[in-house]
Formats: sequence, structure tokens, C-alpha cells
Amino acid sequence: MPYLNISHFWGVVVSSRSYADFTPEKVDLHRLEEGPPLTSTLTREDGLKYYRTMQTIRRMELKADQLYKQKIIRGFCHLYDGQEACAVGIEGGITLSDHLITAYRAHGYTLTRGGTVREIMAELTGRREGIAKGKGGSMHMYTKNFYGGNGIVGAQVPLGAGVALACKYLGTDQLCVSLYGDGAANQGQIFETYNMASLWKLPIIFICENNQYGMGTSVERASASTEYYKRGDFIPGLRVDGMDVLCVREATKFAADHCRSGKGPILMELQTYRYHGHSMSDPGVSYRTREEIQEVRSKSDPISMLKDRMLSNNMASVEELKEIDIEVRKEIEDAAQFATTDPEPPLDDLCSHIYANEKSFEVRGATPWTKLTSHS
Amino acid sequence: MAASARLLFRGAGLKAYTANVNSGAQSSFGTTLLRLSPNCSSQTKTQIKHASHFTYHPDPVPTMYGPTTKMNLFQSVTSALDNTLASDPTAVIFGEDVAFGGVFRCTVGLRDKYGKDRVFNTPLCEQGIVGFGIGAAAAGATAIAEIQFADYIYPAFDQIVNEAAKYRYRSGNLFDCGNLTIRAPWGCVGHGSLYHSQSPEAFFAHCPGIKIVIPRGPVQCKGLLLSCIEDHNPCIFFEPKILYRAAVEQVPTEAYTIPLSQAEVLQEGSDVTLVAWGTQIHVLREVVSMAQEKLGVSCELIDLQTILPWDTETVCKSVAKTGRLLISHEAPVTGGFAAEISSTVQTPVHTLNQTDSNLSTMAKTRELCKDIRDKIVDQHKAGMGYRTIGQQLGEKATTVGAIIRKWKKFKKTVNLPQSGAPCKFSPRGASVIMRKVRDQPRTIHRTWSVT
Repeated sequence: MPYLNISHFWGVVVSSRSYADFTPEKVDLHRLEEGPPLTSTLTREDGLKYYRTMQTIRRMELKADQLYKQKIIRGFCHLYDGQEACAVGIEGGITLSDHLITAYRAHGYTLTRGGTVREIMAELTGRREGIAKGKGGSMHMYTKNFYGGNGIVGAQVPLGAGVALACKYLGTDQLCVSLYGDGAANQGQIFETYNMASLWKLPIIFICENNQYGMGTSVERASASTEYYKRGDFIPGLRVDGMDVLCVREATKFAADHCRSGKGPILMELQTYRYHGHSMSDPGVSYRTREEIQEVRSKSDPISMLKDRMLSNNMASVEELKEIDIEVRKEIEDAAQFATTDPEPPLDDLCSHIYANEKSFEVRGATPWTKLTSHS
Repeated sequence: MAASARLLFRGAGLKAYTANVNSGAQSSFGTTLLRLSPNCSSQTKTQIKHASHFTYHPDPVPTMYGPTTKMNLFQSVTSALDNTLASDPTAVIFGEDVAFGGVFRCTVGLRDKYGKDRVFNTPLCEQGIVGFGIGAAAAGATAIAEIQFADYIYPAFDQIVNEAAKYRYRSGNLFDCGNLTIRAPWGCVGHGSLYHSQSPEAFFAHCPGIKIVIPRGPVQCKGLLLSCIEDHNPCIFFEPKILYRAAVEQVPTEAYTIPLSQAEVLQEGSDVTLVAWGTQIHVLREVVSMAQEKLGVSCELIDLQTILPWDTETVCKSVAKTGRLLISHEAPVTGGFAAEISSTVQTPVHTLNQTDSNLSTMAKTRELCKDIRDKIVDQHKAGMGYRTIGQQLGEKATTVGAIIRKWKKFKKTVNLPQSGAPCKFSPRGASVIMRKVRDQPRTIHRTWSVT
């Protein structure tokens, strides 16, 4: 096909969507004179990159689902499929030298923040080569400038403010993105953080990933105000469609500029949706209908939206995208294979890194006479 | 599940004790030196995945509370809450996801039966839930708050410790939040990891003004929960989550209470006291039968039930009888509740011997097990002489004599713990023994050539 010789193909894309289920059609603003631009330019390169990353996240989550059901992954597993546009879009608006922290639905962010699929899957199966040496599991994955992966919801937001303070203090131009969900938005510590961040003008972007359900509770039943972007009160806020990767990217760019110009914190609400239940032990259909899930999948699936856009604007061919799909599948397969065959961490590691100390000390094991050594 | 066990041996001259549960038969527990089993080496050569397990031991069917029906632990919680909502019009239940039945099905059906103004969901805010509960209780409602996992209770720690616990005291009894009960799933479940497995009872034990209760099974759960709800103090009720489905018993359908701050002696014994609460009771039940079978050791098992305020009398009385205490719990060792129990128990002898003061002057006869001592006395009563008894039972005649003299004078054959350093073995003697045992693990006391 002749267009393959052209390295950049500019397409102008209108970033707002036109279907009413996910209101609003345009960006909603709170205490902001103007918001992010309503049009966005997507280069072919970026488009393919976003497509590949989102597809990787999607396939990785589905693979994790499969492995969990085969009991190769144990413990807790919270899947991110449906919300890929958030992770990829946010990363598109910031750089890898910026900081990010989120709650437990973290696999997507681990990937966009520099983790590899191999490391992530090995961590899920609890193996040596996992990104947290097999000791963290699904909820505790970390990479450079990515502070996890946190179990207790709401607790990560004040942490993010601290990271932002460090950025400001050290005089770097970096900022911190602190994510939380619609359920956690009702935690007291988040409001404490709003106050501190605003008072000290910290370069922090608060992002509420509103996937409509806090575990099994819909937003109307949990929150007096479901306009999470206004919850910051004195903090300016904006609400965008979280299923559209370009919306998210533009909003994040806008928010990042806001922070970097020294204006202080800003709050973003991303309206998104998760296809799976809250975790692997939740079928996800007792508090919402299958029809609803199907509707979102057919009308606003992030990967399909991007694919349609790219195809309709002749930015890529069907075969090309199919090829990416095949490559992604292979990558995931290899990673899953690696994750199941890599050995588990050695017993010596069980008690390591409890404290930081110069010399090792003994830790009582499961019985009074078994001792394990804690290395640091 | 890592159970931390504190072993206390009173009157033990030897410091290095390592227990081996796999040993062959030993005659008397007291002087037997326990040896290190090859499996328990601290340098594990290979990594063996030890699947920890426990078998649930159901309680016998209670007959004094009326008709019973088969229930598991979460159903017994539902039953208790059902009884409460039926009898107390001010009772309300709230927490995360309680309306549809709760993540552990503890509140199934209650909202439909009693209405959405009595059983309702709260948003995700533990501090808010408990604070709200304190206020509701202070205003007169019977407030039953659910914290979804005990691991999430920490945002509410300030409310519990600084507000709930001190409410009555600081208002000079004008106000109180005694109508508050906080329920939370508690303890190891196997796959819970950092944030779904914690046992935080020790953190709260440091706080006067609240009560902490942990049941071992459905019958206890319902009775204790109803006691907590009735009790005029704020109570925290931890429910072992691994037992929610696994523990099935015949539970009375009517309301009944089991008194708080009363430990229950589940099995009488004479050689060692075992104390635990919640899931560990069932682990220790297995230990009791293993010890009896393989070591001939008679264990006394106590379920503490109420952690705060705990039944010091029952535990201390038992330790006074047996002389040894072992506590098992799932929380970290340092500052765990076992530390509190063990330090309380190790008070001077005179407080333990409050009931029989003359016994503190009693000589300590050789540490034979209770059965042999009783047998000696019985045979003497039947008319046998000391030497004959000694020959029959394989003991020295002087020992037999001492035991019988003790029985004649005090009418008892027990050995009470005594203060002061016992001087059975000199340090040199102790190292000789340890060396011998290390070389020949199957040594028993009879093979000594050394005195």
C-alpha cells in the first residue's frame, strides 16, 4: 500500500465524542476560565504507539485473568481492561521523569511507566524476576518514578502530595500525578491533601478515575456529589471522557502546564469503565447488567475508538494493526510462559528488607525454633 | 499462618529448650529434654512449602439455649444481628456494602427484613464510620458498625482510642457510647497477604475503655456478639474470616449471651496450659491430641475469648496448676497479646498461691507425672509398702516415700511452681546432658550413667 512510505501522516481529530451515555460531550470545567483544546493532533507514530500500548495492557489483563483462573496467579488481582485509555493518555501528557502514584488497579500504569510485560507477569505469579522481586504481587508493583501499587485506598494521595513537595523543593520541573477512584474519593485523607496541596501550591495533578462503581457500589449510592472534579472546592478541576485516549492526553497536558507554571494543584476526573469486576473474586454482574457492559464495550471501547479513528483517517491499515495485535499476543504469550517457569524467590528473601540496616539480623520464623535471616 | 508461641517453663534450669513434636514416647515431660528435630534446622537446605492447615473442631450442641439449627460462622452473625434488630428498635447496622449482605454475607436479608433506614451502606471512610457510630451510640441508638476488614481499621484508630474509649470517663459518666459495637473480619485466611490478614487486637489492648472479643466458632460467636451488643461499653468484635464458611455448628436460633471476660477451659490437663483465641484454638486442639498421643503430655486448653479485659484468674490458676504456659496467636510476636499474658502470669509466687498459703511451704517432690503420683498414693492406700510400690512402678523408694508423705500432710500430690533458682543440675551437668542428647537424640533419662 503506497501510504506506508509516508512516515508522518497528519490527521486532525476532534477530541470530543458524540454519544450521550457518557456525558458531557465537551470538557467540564470548575474554577477554570478555559480548558484544554477541543481538538487534538494525533501523529501516526503516536497513534500506533498508543494502540500498541493499549492492546498490550488489554491482552495482559486478559492473560492475567486466564492465569488466575488456572490458579497460577494467587491472592488478589484487580484488572484494568476497559480503562486503558487513562493510563496511556496520562503518560502521553507527562514524561517519564514525572512521578505517578495510584491505588491497586496498577498493572496498566506499571507498563506505561516503564515496566515490561515479562516483569509484570512474573510479579503476578510471584517469581524471582518480578518487578518487585516476587514479594509484592498484583497490588504492589513499582518502577522508577512510579510509587505503586497501594493496598489501602486513599492512603496513596497524601503520599503523592509529598512527592510533589519534593519536586517543588528540589527545583525540578517535575510534577506528581496522584490517582484514586470514585470509592476512595470519599476518604478523609484526600480532603486533607487537597488543603495541603493548595496551601503550598504543590505541583500535583489529582486524578479521579471514575469507573462508576466503587467495588460493588455505584457512585450515586456512595457519594453525595458525583461531580468528583468539583470536590476539590478551591482547586480548579476538569472532567473529561476517560475512554478517549486523546481527550485524556490533552487534559493531562493542560493540567501539567497548569502545574508547571506554578499555579498549584489541579483536579481531573476521568469518566471511564472497567469490564471486569472489582477483582477476580467479583463476577462484576451482580451490581450492573451485562447489557451495560456490552454497551460500553461496543460504543466506547478505547482501543476500538482509536482503531476506528486511525483507519478512517487512513493513518494505518487493517493489516498493520493486525500485525501489531499478533506481535502483542506473542509478547504476552512469551511473558506468560516466562512467568510460569521462572523460579520463586529464595527462602532467604522472605524476611529481607524489613528494616534497612548494615548487618543482617534474625527473624523468628513460623515456629519458635526456625530462624530466618533478614538481609537488607 | 505464622503462629507465635511463647513457651514458659517454670523451674527450668536449662535455658536452651527446643521442642520436638515428632519424638517417640517419653515417660515424663518434666525432666525429658526435648530435642531438635532434623526438620527444624534453621539452615534449610531445600525450600519446602509447608502448607499450613487446621481442622475445625466444632463445639458440642448447646442444650440450654433452646432449639438449634445448623449454621456457619457468618450465618451465626446474621442470626445474632437478626435477633438484635428484632428485639431492639433502636438498633442500626451500617458499614461498607452491608446492604446487599456484606462481602462475607454476614448481613444477608437484614435490609429486606428491617428496612433501609436500619441497615444501610456507608461510603468508603472508616474514620467516618466509627465517628458516626460513636455519635449514634451516644445519642441512644444501638449502633453496630462494620469495618470491612480489620486491616482497614486504622483510619478509625483515633476515633476508637481517643473518642470511644474515653467518652464515659471524660464526661464523668454523663455521656457514653456503650451502645457501639464494631465488627470486623480478622486473621489469616491463607491468601490475604498484607492487607487482608491482620490481627490488630494488640494495638487496641493498650487502650482501657473498650472491650475486645474474638470467638472461636459459631455458637460462641453468636453468644459473644450478643453480649457485646448488650454490653454498656464500646466493643470491638473480631470475626476470624477463615472460619466464616469452614466453621459449622448447631447454633441456637433464639438469642442468648455468653459472658464477656470469662475464659473457657476447653480441656483439662495437668502438664502444660495452652492459651489461644479464634482460629488458633483449633490448631491447639490438634496439638493437644498430638501431645497426648506422642509425648504422653496432658495439656490444658483455654480459650481466652475476651482479649480486653481478659480473665487473668482462670489463666493464672491454670498455670499455677501445671507450671507451664504456651500461648499461640497469629499477630507479630513483639508486643503481641501473648507478651501481655506471659508477663502477667510471671508475677511472684505468692499471688498465684493465694488460695492455699500453706502449700508454699510444701517441698517439691520429684517431677513425676500426675498419673504415677496418683497411682503411688492409690497403691499405698491399698496397703503396699514403699519398696514394693517403687519396684512395681520403677521409681526409687525414697521418691515414693516423699510423695506419700506429702500426700499425708497436705492431702495433695501436686507440684506447685516455686521461686528461687532450682538446683537440679549444675551447669556442668547441664552441658553433659545437652552433649549427650545432641549426639544421641533418642536418649531418655533412664539411660543416664551420670546421676
